[in-house]
Amino acid sequence: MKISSNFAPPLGIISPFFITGVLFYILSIVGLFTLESHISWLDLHWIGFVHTYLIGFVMLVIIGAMAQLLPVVLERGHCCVGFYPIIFTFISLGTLLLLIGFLAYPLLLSYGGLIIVLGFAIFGIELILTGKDGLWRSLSTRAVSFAILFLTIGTVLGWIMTLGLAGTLEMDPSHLIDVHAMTLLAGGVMLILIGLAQILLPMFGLAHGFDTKPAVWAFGLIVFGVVLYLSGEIIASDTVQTLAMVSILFAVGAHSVQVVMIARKKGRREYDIWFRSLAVAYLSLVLSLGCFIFALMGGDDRAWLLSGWLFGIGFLGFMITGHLYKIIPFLVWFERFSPLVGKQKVPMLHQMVPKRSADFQWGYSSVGLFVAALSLVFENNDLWYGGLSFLLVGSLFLIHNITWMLRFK
Amino acid sequence: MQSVTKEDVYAAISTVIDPEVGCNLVDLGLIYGADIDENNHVNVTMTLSTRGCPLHQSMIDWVKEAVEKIELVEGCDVEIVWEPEWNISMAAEHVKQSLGAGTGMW
Repeated sequence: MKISSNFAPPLGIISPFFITGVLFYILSIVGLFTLESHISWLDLHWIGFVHTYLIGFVMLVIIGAMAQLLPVVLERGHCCVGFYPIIFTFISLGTLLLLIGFLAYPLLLSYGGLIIVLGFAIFGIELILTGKDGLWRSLSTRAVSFAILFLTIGTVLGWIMTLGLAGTLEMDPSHLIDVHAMTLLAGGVMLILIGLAQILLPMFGLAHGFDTKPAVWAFGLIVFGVVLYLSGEIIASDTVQTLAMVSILFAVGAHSVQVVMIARKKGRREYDIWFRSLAVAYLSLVLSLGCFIFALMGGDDRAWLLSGWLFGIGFLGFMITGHLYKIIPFLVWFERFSPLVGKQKVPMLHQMVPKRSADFQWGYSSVGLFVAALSLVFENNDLWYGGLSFLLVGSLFLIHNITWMLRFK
Repeated sequence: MQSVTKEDVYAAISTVIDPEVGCNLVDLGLIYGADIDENNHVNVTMTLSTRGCPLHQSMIDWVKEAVEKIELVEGCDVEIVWEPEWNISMAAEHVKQSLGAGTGMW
């Protein structure tokens, strides 16, 4: 069976997802400087930068990574690899329109939202046409399939909200915020990460022989939780939605247990940038869970905000940047050096990572993450701007490192 | 007829390096066997460190090319198997040490 060598999409198609994703990351950090540590959930500037981060950075990079990974997992080539530049254009343009819409021109929101819906729809169609029956073969691909379904529902809900904000539709969009966020973050992003972690963590950690039951539980509980949350919205039941959140909490807990089980079976104990990034990511996830539980038990808005900050910037941010140090060298190596194997000396993947600069990125970003988190607790602007400054420097190191790896020759 | 030996085959495959781990495939314990028939056709049985390995096909090609470079070899087929499942204990001692396997909980 011919696998992978003919299936990996060209670097030229995938690299814009990573570069633009990190540029959106920088943009969202810069944007946060316009806010103060006492943030309101309904502040449109805040919402604008959150969308820039989650769609422009998180989703763009995840889609780029999945474009490379899924053909290998599915053991078949992309049905329409030419769709990816279209997906990239739609999601990037849609993100920009959303940001401008939230900051200044609400009329642009519905256009931005619609373009993003179309971008995700094309991604979903390409995935279905590529995967076909193979999508049900493994837990990872099943998780990604459900995630695409939830992403579609969540982005359509978001688009409906943009119509409300723009005044095209008579409705109060704030009523849909929670279901929009839950469908996208838990049903979309978290489910994708649960699926991909089952492949990536053992692959990079050389882990074998671990029990996979926690991942099965995590998958089931999160799907159940999101469906329950949507049902609770339809029947307007807070009790059902609280139960749904508990189910999602247990799902994240089960995923954390799975990660610990994989870590304990690791065949390599190298504390490289990938490992350290994951350590910060999962520490943030655990802290975020704690804040979430506190908020659920009646904590104030700061607990929700802190939970979201630690989940978004801490867990998602470090999970993604850590994997970029593995995925980009591989893509570059595969395109430039794999044809030279056996003919001349080729570099190893770890030699294609700028280690010192990566350490700086990790260090500055970690300090920034936790200092800014403290600022949210104490509502202290000095800490807030200090934390953001560290995050910004870290993000500048990140774009330097990404371009350094992509230019490696 | 002069024949190719298993040692020749393993020596040739040990020139193939896993770029992620930085070790050769023989020392990693990925090569399960090599059969050489009377016509000096070689059948290599090997595994990969993970099922989702993006270098699946490349590894096969590199092993095949390396073996076919041996003088007298008339051809080489490479079969990937998943049983027994590979784990780090199958690697050579110096590979385990370089990867830090078995040192500490994490």
